[in-house]
Amino acid sequence: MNRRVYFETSNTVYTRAQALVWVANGLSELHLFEKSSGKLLSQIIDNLDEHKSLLVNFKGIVRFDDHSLDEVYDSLKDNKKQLVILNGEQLFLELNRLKKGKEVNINHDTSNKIIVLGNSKTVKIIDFLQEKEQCVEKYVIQVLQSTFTPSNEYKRLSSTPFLANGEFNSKKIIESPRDFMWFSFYMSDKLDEIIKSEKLTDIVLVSSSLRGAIFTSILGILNNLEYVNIDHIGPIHKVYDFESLNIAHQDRNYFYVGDFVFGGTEIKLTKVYASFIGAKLNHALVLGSLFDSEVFKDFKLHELHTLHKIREEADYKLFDKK
Amino acid sequence: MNILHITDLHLDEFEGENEFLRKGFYEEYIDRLFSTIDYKLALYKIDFLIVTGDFINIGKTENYNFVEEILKYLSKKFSIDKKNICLSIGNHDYKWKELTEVDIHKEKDLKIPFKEFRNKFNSDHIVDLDYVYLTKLAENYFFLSIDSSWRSEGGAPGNLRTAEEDQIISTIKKYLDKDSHLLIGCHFPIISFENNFLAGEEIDWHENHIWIKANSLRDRIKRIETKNTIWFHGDVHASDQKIIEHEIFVMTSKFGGKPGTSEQKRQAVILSINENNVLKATCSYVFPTHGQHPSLGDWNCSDFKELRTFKPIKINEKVNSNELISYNTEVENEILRLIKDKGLYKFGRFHVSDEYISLGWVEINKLMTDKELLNRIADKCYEIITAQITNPNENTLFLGIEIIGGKLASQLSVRFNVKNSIIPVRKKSEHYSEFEFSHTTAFKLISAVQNIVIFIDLISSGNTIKELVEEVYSKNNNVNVHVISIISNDIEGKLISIPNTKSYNTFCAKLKIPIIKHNEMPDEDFLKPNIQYN
Repeated sequence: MNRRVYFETSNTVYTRAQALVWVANGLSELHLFEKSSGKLLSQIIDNLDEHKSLLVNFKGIVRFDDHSLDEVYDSLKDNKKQLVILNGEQLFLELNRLKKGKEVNINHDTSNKIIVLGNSKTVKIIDFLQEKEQCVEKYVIQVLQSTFTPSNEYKRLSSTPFLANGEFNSKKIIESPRDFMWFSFYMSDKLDEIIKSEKLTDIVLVSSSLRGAIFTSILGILNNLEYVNIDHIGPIHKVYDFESLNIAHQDRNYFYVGDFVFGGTEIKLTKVYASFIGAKLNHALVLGSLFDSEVFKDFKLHELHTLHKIREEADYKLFDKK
Repeated sequence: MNILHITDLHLDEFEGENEFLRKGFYEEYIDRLFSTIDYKLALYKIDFLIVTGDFINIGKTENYNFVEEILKYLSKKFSIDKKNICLSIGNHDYKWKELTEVDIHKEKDLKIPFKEFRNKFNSDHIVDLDYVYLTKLAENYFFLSIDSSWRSEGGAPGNLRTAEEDQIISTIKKYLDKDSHLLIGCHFPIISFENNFLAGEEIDWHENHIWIKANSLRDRIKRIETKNTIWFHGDVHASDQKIIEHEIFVMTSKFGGKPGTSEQKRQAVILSINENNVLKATCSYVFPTHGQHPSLGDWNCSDFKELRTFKPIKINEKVNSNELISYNTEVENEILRLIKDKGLYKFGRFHVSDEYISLGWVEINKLMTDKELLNRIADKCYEIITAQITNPNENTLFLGIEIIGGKLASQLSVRFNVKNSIIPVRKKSEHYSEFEFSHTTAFKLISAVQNIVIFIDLISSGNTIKELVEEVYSKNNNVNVHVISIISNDIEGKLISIPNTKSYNTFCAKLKIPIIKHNEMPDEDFLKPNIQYN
């Protein structure tokens, strides 16, 4: 079984329905759970230890294909294994309809906002979610740590006044299918939280670096938002194609997406470009930042972690020409 | 098979003086259409006539007798068998104003005149329900008529219940298979078209004219495998078309009514479904002057244009020929349409390499912010790779050139569980830091893999891709290199040769991008560059 599509803890296995859709069917119809995604899910159930619960986050799934759950229900039919659906209460009636007479328990636990299929043992949902959160957080930190390559000497970071004893390289995340997929979902959830908490509307995601563009477009697809890729402002400020800015985005809310931030130069310059076409840029989401977000006053920075938290040995000095 | 599609006859005053289909003129109007089609397209015959509603104007059911007379004349003129005349109801075809609330019993009664009229042509239905009927027209050809005004409020697009939607889906699944052609008559467009010039003229235009509530129905029909699924629409009095994978949407402007604004052309569309493609020709009734008296115009018919092809994937063994191959005509047409509609092609002096200047520039970054197009291309890339590489996994590496190539490589790497690397190529122009250029772990895998797929946005002179392929071969001479480009420069119908690639695929091979050597251009004092390479 391909372990890249799920996380495993002592009491749970966790996956996400849209991750299965991406792997099985691509990104065109992320709202639809179709048969090949169901097959992947049934394979996870088949390999699930009976004492563990399978948590599946159905965020973003609106519909099932007619036969998408046939194999899932076959895997659950003796009710020995337990599947817990998160963020999918609206699918309860559909789940029942697609059961087609198979003897699978389906219970809607409205107080915990979950649907439990198969084994009806008590779901310790708070403990399970905590376990899952810790597992995902640990994974995120580990992957971010792996992006740092120490060097023997301090080197100047492009477009910053800093010397560093190593470099964070987000390309390592993009290059790994598993990491890229899970980071895309992780950032997508963060973005969603920020949009809701800040009550943002008319959003256009914007990137101004090569690597930032990769994250921006996938977040645009996952969160169904428009995006613009400026080619490019950082780390070297040399815009190749100004036409990408020739666009009617008056009063739109530009939301910067990038990888690692040091002095924030790229974001500030992107803000200037955005202002030039009448748009606003007041928020940025990045993988890591040298400084806490309070340091930046021109925009609100939302970082997954600070660089010091990711790698304690990462060290920075001010560049001195002498 | 050839299909004639007309819609929106809006017959108001048959005996009046100002209608296209008035008593004294309709035969002449149809004769002129017939002559034009006969002369221009030289079709052997028209097999089916599809009319998508608004036969009469604002519920004047007493006009059905006259419409019957008109359609009978039309079918006789075009030698169309009565059973091959397919009719769908529109919101003008019953007295919806007599419905003060949703009342399906009363609605059914109000629609009886239409049903009686309809059954005078084709009454041999496999399934006949209040809101849908299915007819088999010929071997593998089916006509599904959907009442898009069913359970309508105030004449706007209707509202199908889930059970009704399920019934439609199960009907299609029961009678059609993968070799079937599904022709759907549906008055209100089920998707939004760009050419909705009236949208700005009416408050809540989209709610009143686009059947948004049936999105799920369309989505479910899309998933049923057929040879062709073609939606025919009317209502909006404008002409457009869309091709999304195997779905074709044809929206035709009105056929009758009284002269209105010059924007509202009278039209008839002909679709020709062949073994390997679907072609479309549009006939428009045009006037020699600004005056619009119906008698003054004449029909003008376009040539057939290809909407869809069913060409199989072509796999080249070590490409030596320079035949230009585009992988998928539907995607190609969509790329060309978007470039044209959004004005993404620019002329100027664009430095693209040390050797060449390009005189044309496609804003491909902007083009690829269209998520639907990006996803379609990614899906097609998946098909190409699956067809050409057996079990791509750890023996395969994806290389994505610059932003667009990087997006495709990273998104597809998740599906195949294959490592990928983004390759910046504008090194000489100092656009990137040394750090960005330093190739990482994935790139170092080149010597260990058997297959490499390179994704590139646009091949213009071919220098960039050739240099990268050479670099790859310098590290591993036994690797199979596959190139997938979104656009490849059409230089007199030839493909730029990339030596020793296992396959070279492009989604758009019909765009010309003139390139010229630096020393063949006037000095920059005379003509300043739009984009500087160095």
